[in-house]
Amino acid sequence: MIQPIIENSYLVEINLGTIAAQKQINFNFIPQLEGSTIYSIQTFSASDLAISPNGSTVVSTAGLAAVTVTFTVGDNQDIYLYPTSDLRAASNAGFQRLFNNKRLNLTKSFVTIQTVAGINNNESVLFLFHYRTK
Amino acid sequence: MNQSDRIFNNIFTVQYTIKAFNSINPSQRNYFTGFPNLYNIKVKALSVTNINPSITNAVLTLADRKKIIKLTNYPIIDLSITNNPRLKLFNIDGIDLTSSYWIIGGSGVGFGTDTLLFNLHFHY
Repeated sequence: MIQPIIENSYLVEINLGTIAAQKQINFNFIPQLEGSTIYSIQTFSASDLAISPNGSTVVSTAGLAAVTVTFTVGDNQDIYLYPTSDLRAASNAGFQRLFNNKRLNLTKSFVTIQTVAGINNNESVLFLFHYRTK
Repeated sequence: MNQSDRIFNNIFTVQYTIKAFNSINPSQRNYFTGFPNLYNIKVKALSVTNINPSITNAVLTLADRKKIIKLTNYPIIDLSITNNPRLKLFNIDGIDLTSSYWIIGGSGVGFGTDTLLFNLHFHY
């Protein structure tokens, strides 16, 4: 099974704020990822990285199961309501999920809270994007 | 991108000793120092060993000799073979360790003196 060879990676954080079912939180604009080609994405729980680089508490492994992610390319929601827990390599025998060289429109991409069970206010979801530069 | 045909020319372990808890400053950048033979290397794989189980707040940033950041806040726990059975493969040229650093956030470090080992698989 092929695993990606990492060339560049960037850790992006989405803070959930005050949690509520069906709340959507968009990604912020990340200049380093603008126009880049993304070929693999990982998520992490508090078991992997307890505090984010911005100082926020990271969601638990159970909390990852409460959230889905939608990635947009241009105006198309190519990856729609993808269970975020599936991107955690430690939950998948170490395998990383591969994507077909997507130039993501991050500000139109978002996470959706499906249930508040397992998550708390102001926790963060982390996404590690593996990318090639333009 | 087939990892089965990778042959590693060099494996060099960079050992870092993390000092006692009360001398660690959260969010402080800890730069790699003292490895002149590791300048301008092509990193092909990276793993960590002997990692304290409580060090789950550490992230790694790798820069190349042009000061371009290649890995930004990469969770170090993801490089642990114990935590993640698959060796992480990289293809990063021209790494300058002196411009690279790791950060521990929050209070994730255990008490006492811990040693963090980075295993670099690389070519020149």
